[in-house]
Amino acid sequence: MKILLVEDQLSTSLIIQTQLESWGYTVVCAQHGQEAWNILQDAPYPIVLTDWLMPVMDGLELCRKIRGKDSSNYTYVILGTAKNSQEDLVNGLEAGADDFIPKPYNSAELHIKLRNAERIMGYETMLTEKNTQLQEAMSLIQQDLGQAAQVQESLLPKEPGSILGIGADWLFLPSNQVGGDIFNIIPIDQCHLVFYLVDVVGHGIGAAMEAMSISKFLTPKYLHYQLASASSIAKEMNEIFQSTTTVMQCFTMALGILNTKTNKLRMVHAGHPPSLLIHQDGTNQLIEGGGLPLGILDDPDYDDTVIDLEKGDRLYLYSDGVLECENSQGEYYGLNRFRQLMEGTQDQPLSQSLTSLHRTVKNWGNQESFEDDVTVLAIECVQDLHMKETHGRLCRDEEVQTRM
Amino acid sequence: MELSQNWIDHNLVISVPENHLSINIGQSLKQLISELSTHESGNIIFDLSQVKKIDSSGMAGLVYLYKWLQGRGELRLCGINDSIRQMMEITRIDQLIHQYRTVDEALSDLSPH
Repeated sequence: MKILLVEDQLSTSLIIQTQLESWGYTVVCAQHGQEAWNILQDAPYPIVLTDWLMPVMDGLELCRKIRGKDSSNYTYVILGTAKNSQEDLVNGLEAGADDFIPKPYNSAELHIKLRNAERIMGYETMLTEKNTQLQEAMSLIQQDLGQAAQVQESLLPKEPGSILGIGADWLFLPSNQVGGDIFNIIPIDQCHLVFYLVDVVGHGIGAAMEAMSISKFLTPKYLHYQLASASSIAKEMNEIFQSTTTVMQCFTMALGILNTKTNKLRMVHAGHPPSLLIHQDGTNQLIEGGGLPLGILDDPDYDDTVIDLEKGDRLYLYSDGVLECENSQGEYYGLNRFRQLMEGTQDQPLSQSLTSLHRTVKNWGNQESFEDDVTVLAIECVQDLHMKETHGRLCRDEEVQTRM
Repeated sequence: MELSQNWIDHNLVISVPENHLSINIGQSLKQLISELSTHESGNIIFDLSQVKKIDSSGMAGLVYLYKWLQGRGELRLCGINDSIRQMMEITRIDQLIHQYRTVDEALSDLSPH
């Protein structure tokens, strides 16, 4: 191990150097603190054994400079001293000395102190190595998470805009890189839209994986045969995504099937907060109904709620992360504030309403990230029902009804 | 989270010493279930009077326990505040798990084993 020996008396320096070398150390000598400091700029030394009183720069100052330096390599400093008062020791400790040795150096004592230094530097090296390993593992995990987040993002709708004459926009603020919330808005045929918001209980990778498999399950092809009832989709999903005894995984869901020709909406809420419907005139209602979260019980009951939407109606599906966003006093943002805000911004374009909501919950929580995923999916009836009917023929469920 | 357990005859009264019931209950419930697996039967009374808030993870934990108990005994809740009641209504869990004001009320009409 290398030692930097700092000693202004040449004869003393020579004696100590010989002694140190006989113990197997590699020794480099400096005559005062400034010279030692210069040497340290070129190469790190694990151990510095320095005299206290020296010309140009004393041992105390050298010690302070070493501690003040931002370095990944620790330097163990032994301060040699003829001073033995309490105050001097305190000064030495304050400057950052690791150990003291009275002058003239007693050979046996010096040897023990150096071995201590070696032992501690050994721990130091081990710690640094472990730290490096941890950092490497951490960056690998971060990389994986980043990729997972990309996969998850690819399952979300691409651009807000108009689908089958229905406006759609959203707010998606996952609490981590990957989250347990997932949503989509899917055109099924020329006059049916299915949209949903799923909130898998819990956060992190487990919840994200579940969310992704749910999203992959709800394909247009599958949904095409399920347009008659939202609750039967919920029932089927409950069966498929059952928790096991080892994995407790359940989720809540709001799902709507909208006939864009008749504006008839069928919705199911499975353990999910009621969707908020705001009419053009600013009055509002909550669409409730439904049943338990999915994936827990074997055969829960779900019901469709059927509603006729009108021009200018906006429907907000949201995760409980919106309502449960806490301020510094631990108070939830809550349904009433959410409701009032969306009511008050009804006359603004949809994207602006959502921007207001984003700003408001962010200020409410007063921190950069949210504790839970905050997701809102908004859809808007932009066209008149009357106008739409002139566009085309009846769509499948009316045909079915007519035949009945 | 340390759940405090107190057996009264065949009924286990559990109180939750936290003011926020969330994902943190998952591990405690798993442990509780593995401990209870050796018991033949019994009801569980969950005393939530110290709990101020519950989120969907906490709610899911309770439903999971309810499901596990089916055929062994009954799960009852007591000491729930308005915020928890609202959460239970949203998730429809209020129709699944019976609620009582106090532990004594929850115990009073349980059939003796």
